[in-house]
Amino acid sequence: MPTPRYPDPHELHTGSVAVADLPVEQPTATPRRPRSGSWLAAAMLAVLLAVGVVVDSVTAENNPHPGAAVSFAVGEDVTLQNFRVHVNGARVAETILDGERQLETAGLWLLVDLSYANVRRPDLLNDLGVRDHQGRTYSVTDRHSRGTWRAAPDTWFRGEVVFEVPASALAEGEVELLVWPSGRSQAEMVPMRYGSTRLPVDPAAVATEPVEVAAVELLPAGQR
Amino acid sequence: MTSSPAPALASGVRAAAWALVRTWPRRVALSVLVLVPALVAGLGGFRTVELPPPPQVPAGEPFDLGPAAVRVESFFVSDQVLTGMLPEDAQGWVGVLVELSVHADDEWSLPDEVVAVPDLPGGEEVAYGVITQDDSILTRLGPDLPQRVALLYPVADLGAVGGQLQVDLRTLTEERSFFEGTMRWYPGEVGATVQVSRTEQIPPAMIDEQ
Repeated sequence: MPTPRYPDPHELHTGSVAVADLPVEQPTATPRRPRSGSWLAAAMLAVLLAVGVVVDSVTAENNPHPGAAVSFAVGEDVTLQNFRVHVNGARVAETILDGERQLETAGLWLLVDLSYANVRRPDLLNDLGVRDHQGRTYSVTDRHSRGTWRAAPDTWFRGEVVFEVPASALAEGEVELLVWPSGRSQAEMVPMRYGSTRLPVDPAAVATEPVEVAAVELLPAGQR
Repeated sequence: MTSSPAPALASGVRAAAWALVRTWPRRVALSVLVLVPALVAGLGGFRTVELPPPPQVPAGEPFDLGPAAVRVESFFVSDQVLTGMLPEDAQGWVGVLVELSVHADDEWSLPDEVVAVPDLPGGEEVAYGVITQDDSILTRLGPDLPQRVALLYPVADLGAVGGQLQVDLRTLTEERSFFEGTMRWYPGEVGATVQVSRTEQIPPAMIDEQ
């Protein structure tokens, strides 16, 4: 019996082999469709690629947590986690006093008058910042020694916190005051609430004489 | 009957070698992989290249570190400044007087190793930066707020410090932090050196009361 195989072209040419007919697969009427598994794999690949592109484009600069800022006005109370904060206003000076020392700067001193109390437990509000119209950010200066704020729940303290800023930061007549209740790095890395207020500052009203920073004081009940 | 492991290993190696060179495309790819590095090595491509020395910046001229500019002025030697922070084995400080000005959008802290004094033992890192105007410790610098600072390095033998010192300035490059995903400045190579002269004019606010 002839071997059921496809003929070698040479064998066919010489007629040296008899070749049995092999069943030839008839073309079907409908085209062959890919298996559903292939479609699934392709879809998963496309989804993975899309996720990769999105994740790659989401960077710190895109600010993925823009909704965490809590806007509040000067003169009103705002609650930020364990703090109740009330901003009264600001003044500007060329020189400030730290005890008997005069502190000078290449820019200006911005003194922000604010008071705060705690909500649940005694805590210090350490992280405050100022951002100007150019996006430059400054935190509370370490050059001036801050008084002791012994704030507690419903125990309000008032005083001034000091920022060192260039004169150009005040040119627009206002700055953004930022209150970071759990630290600045936390506020910028995770979607937690932080305070933001537009703080009017008069760039023309700069004290030229050395200014004494207001001492921290305990406020009577109901006062801010 | 089991075959011994040595012939089995040899036959395995032979099979693997044959698999590598079985076809012409594989032979070409293998020879390129072997020959190209050999050719590069033969032409001296893997030699260690001597880098040119970093440029000299005159004292008093600004140099861009990346996030900030530094202007190195002079240095002083003293055992009258920041005496409370002096290490036990040090007689005093060498204070390199600089002006620093940040031109980034945010505050920036001077890394310890950016300004170094290689002539001093232990001069690779700044011990403290002190603002000359009010004797406060420098913690961070605000954008566009130039600050005159004394960078202090402890010295075991004050008499051994001469009248000139070389100051190395490392440039910084901004890269994305792997863990935090934020941009940070990382110190790199020495980008410039400055030869500074000794001054006897110590900033008055820095001198401790006796």
